[in-house]
Amino acid sequence: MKNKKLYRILNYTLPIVTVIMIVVVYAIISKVVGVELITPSVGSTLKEFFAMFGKGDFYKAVGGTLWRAFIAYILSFVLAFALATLTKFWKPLRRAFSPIVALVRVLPTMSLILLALIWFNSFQSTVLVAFFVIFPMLYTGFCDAIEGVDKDLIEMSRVYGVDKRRLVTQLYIPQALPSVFTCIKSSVGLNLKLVISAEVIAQTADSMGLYMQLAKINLDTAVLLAWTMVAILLGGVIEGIVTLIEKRTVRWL
Amino acid sequence: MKIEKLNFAYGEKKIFQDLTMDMPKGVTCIMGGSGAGKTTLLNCISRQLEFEGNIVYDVIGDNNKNDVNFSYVFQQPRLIPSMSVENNIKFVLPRSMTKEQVKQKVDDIIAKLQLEECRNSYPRKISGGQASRVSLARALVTDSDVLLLDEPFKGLDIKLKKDILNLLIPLMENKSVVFVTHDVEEALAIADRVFVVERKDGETVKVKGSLDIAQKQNDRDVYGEQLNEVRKQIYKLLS
Repeated sequence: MKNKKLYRILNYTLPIVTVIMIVVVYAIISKVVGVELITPSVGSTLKEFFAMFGKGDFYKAVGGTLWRAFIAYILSFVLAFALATLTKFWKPLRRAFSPIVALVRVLPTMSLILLALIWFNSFQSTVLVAFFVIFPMLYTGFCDAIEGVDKDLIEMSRVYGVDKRRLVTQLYIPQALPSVFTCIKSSVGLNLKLVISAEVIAQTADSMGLYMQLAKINLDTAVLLAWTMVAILLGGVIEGIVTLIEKRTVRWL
Repeated sequence: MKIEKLNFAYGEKKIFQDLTMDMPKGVTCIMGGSGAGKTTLLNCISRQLEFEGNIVYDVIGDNNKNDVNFSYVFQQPRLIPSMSVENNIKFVLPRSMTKEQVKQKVDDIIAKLQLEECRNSYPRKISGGQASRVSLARALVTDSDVLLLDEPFKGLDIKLKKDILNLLIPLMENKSVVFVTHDVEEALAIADRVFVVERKDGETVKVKGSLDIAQKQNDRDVYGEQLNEVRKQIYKLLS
């Protein structure tokens, strides 16, 4: 009982201790380097961080970035899910589709960003860059999740003559959910990172990436670090929401 | 139900060669050592495996897979982990049934198999014995023509096994039941015909012998003289 309580306390406190340690290490490095332009102090970074919340542009930029990330992710998710389901029940389509997925998976992100910038506007290119990285990741994950459904249960359903609709909605989807959530958790953060990276290069209006690029041009490292903190916080919040949904949805585990 | 010249192989490994068995309407019990092909036979009967030969089911229709409704109690309960006990039972009922019909059927079988206590629990939260009963409930809730039971009482205590056997007897009426077991007492309690099969190393499955039990299940005295004789013969065939 005592051990359980201690374990619970450690479970909550250890991540906070780790964050404090990172800040302390950075503070030491900042002190040693001593150049505010290169490694601004923790104090000035935090000052910039809190100052941002008072500016209207900040919310516009965060909102814009989140919107693009959302569009890219929903697009990747829906297409990956639909295609993984289709290819499960129609194998030739999987074989036909495999070279495209393989090609998209190895496409260098940088050339993708540059090509997208030539061919599309900055909104489309940021969404497309994230889509081309996240979609094959989700597609492969969803295919594995569907393949991983217990064969014995499928066999049981067939013996009982369970119809295809029930098989998909009541067996395949719920059984694949835990793996699908693992997939989502490992890709939502990456999706946000990709959108911000593309925004930096595309200099998309009303975006976190643009403000990061401006901070870099102006050698305003404290602002750049403050934006980085915002991106980390957003990533954490998104992953937290996904974990919460997972706990509510996958209740049987 | 008749099995005529059944041929089946796992790759190069031949399991059945021209196997023929005549199973009367009622309960046919298949006994034999481990690896004697009993489960493979059930999988052929339920058409999960593709085989050569013919299986004639005791049903009205064209006798193809779509005309026969199967229920199968597997060695492992095979319950869907994301569904409650109640929903696991509902899962196999046809869509054509109304909500009221489904409720009535499910309530009835849950009461008969004493599953009220775990009705809303997920399979992870129930005991092995309860899981076996849920698997049985799922098989009995459907109006199947062929009921296949692969060691369904594994993991149940003697009292519960006896209760369920008593319950099963009326529920198995008008069905073709194929029951695989290692337990002679179970066979004596419910079988109308007992087949003892064997498969020696490198050979195909052979029927070593078959015995009929004429007495009605409800009137049986498993320790009576007549069944003692059958018991002796089964043990003889098994050894």
